[in-house]
Amino acid sequence: MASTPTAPFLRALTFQGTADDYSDALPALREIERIELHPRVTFLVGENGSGKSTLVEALVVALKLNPEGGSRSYQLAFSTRSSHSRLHRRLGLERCGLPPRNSFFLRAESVFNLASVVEAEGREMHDVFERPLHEQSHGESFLDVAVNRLAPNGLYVLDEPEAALSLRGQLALMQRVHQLVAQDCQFVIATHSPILLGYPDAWILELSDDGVHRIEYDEAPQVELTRAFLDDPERFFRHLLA
Amino acid sequence: MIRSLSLDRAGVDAARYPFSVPAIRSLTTLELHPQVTLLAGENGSGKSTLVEAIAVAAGFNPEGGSRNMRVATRESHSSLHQHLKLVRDPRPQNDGWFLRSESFYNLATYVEQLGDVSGYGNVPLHEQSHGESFLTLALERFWGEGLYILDEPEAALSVRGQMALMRRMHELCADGSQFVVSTHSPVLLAYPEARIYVLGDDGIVETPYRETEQYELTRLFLDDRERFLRHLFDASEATPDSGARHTEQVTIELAAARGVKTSSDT
Repeated sequence: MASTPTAPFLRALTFQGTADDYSDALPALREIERIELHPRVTFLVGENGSGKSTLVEALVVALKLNPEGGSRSYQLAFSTRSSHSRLHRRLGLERCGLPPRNSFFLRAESVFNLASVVEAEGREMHDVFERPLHEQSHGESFLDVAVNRLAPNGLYVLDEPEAALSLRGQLALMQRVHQLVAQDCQFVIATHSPILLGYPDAWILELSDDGVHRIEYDEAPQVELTRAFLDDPERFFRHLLA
Repeated sequence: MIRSLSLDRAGVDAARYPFSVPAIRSLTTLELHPQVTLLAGENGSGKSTLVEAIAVAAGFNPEGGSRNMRVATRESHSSLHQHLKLVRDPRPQNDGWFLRSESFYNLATYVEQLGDVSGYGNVPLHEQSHGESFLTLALERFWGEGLYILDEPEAALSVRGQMALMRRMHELCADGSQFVVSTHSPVLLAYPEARIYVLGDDGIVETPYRETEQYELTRLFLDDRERFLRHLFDASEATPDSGARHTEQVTIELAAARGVKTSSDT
């Protein structure tokens, strides 16, 4: 049907001018003009402090999602982070097709936030979570949100979703992403996890001092480093703890 | 510092959470490693509950923070700590922190309030990522001779960040510190001179590093992810309506993926 919104919803991110804050000094983003996205799944990788989360937050602001996690319809009025940057002032969106039917920003702390909002508003927990939150671990409630609140024909931004998840939890999330990709969804996912990054048919964009560049799975720092580490942890420790 | 802990079941309703969780149900006595004890296990296995109970029994408030912080603004999630008896060891304890998993997201604000922090890599704290804030705290606010209880500290850390954390742990242990750390990370779990307990349906089982699922499955994945994922996705396509594919279902497919790997090796 022509009226059904389907991915891709975003073709690229474009950058112009300055943000007039610290984000202007991030080497990865300083000279960036355009970041093309994969029609289905784009991963953002980079060291702590490379600007991954800053970029994700700017995207979320540009999409008018709440930068602290949640959906458009579920605005959260408080913050776990003192402030997000003004990078969104530089950011433009190259959209395509119909707007997504659903969109959501999910990060590990969203689950804590959602729980607090629900508690504060006296809403019924089961509106949001499958099981009572105090009997669920952080990871379980996170998967609950991923499974129950991410719907077909949507655009989803995930910031380090592995933070709450066990290895199996990450695999369960990958299955869910796989289902949703088949249902015309698009994802942008910032991650440190060598597991999530293994999702096939995706682009991996690395933020580094050289800017933002597409790399192969086997070149991603977390993959190379984890592989080398697991091959011979003792060798690593001899150097690391010397 | 803590030598061991034991659970006193007097007056406990075994059918009630968290005593009904298999790992807690079977808990009698747990010897801690004098330096680093690592707790692994699935989401929901009781890791965080146990970590919180150890912390509260050791004198931290359930909110988390340093031992000097006396303002409790939240209730403990469970009553487990009331039934936990700690056997102390005689080493001096002059420092301590308990960090809940959610506190890793509030650290920038929190550490800023402490003042006098130059910042990890000389970046102002409010411009740091969650991971950097935590490393700043560990580098500048953990002083040694301390009891450090950390719930999934890898949450915001890159692999490199996890290595920086382990280096800091090593320094602090040399200064007479003790760590109790829950983690999902195959990297942190490899910390040498540590004891690993896996919390699962069989209770709390001491497990050598290379026998942990984190190690085994991460290697399997990195060695041949296409095959691994084909299995995982085929299984989910076979049952397209099972939206709530939580971790139990994944187990079956993991077993299958393991089987495939093994049979191809022989």
